[in-house]
Amino acid sequence: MSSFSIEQIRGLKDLVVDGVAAGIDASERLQQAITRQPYALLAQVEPIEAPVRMIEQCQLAVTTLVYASLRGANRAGATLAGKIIDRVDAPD
Amino acid sequence: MKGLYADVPYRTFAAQRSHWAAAGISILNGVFGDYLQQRQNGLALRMAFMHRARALPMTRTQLQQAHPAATAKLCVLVHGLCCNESSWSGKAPDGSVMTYGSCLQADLGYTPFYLRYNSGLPIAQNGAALAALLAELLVAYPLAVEEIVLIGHSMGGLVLRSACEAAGRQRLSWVQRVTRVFYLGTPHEGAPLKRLTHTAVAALRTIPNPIAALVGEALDLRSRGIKDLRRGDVLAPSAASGPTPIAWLASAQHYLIAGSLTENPQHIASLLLGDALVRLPRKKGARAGSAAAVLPQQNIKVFGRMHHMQLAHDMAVYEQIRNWCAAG
Repeated sequence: MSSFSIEQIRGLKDLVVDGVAAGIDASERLQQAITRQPYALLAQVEPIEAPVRMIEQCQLAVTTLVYASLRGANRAGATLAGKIIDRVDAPD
Repeated sequence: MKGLYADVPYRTFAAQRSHWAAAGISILNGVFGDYLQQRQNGLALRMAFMHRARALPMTRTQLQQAHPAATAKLCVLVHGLCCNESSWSGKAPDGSVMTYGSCLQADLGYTPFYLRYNSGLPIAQNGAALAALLAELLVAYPLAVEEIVLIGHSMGGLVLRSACEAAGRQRLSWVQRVTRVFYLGTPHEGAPLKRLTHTAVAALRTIPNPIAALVGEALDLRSRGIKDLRRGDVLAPSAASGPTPIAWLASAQHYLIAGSLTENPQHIASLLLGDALVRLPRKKGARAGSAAAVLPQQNIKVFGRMHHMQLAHDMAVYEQIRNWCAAG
């Protein structure tokens, strides 16, 4: 007797993918919020405000890029897992 | 008493692996059930009566096959949050597997039906679905049903109240045949743990800190079913006024069974924590219309040294249920 039906395996895959995506979104929001804090403080010093803002934008752009690549990897993993499940499910 | 437990849910029939898979899916449904259903995820459970780990189709032939010795008296068992029908399985004095359903079948001739459902959905939604399913059951059942006994553990008790209310509203005939309803560790007045979570989420949201906000967000992911347990919502709450109080099914006797962590239910630990998840019913200061205020004292029984989950499969609890059922 199989423990999971193919629909349940597919559902489990979808849930894991959704969970990872939500985790990536939450981590990104958290990291950006924490990243902004020291810059907000430093930007109050008028003479260095402009370079501080520039460095902040660079760091946020890099962060966004890293998280975008994680999202891409998650989507690729989901597609691959979906194809494997389809292959298993396909009639002989 | 050997051979009495032929209809015990699947713990005795399916492989252990299947048992754990089913338990895992039930937990996921309890925590994220509304999300799973909304996403049409394959893990979302559909409400069904279970027979030997499979959903029992509501056709006369299938019912006859499942219950060759069907009787005109039914008992319907409804599990609690994050559980499934296996939560009813316990050990009989002779070491065999028993459930309240199998024991009632052997002792008093009730034909048991074990429900499995997505406990993460709103209680009112599950109640309405159960009302419709019981109507289907009575149409397909091979005999004319004379009596129905309902047994609900934890959230299951709230689902039963909701089902009775929905059946009354829709004038479904099965509700007139309900003679007794047993609530085992049912949080009619809400569950303190759920209230604590709700308060924690509200508090975390007010803290201007991204980590606190994230923890609050994560805690708030819990299902609608869990959120309903905070106040014991049986009906869909109206926008601002909160839960609508509903009457207890007048044609039936209602019985409350509760557990307490200590031998003495008056012990401070039991007064505070009840059975670890649900507090004990208290007459003093009970809200009008609440279980403790409405039910006569002889219909309320508190078992010492019994935790929440044990209430679903303990021989002492069964003896009490049987005595009440046999009382006529």
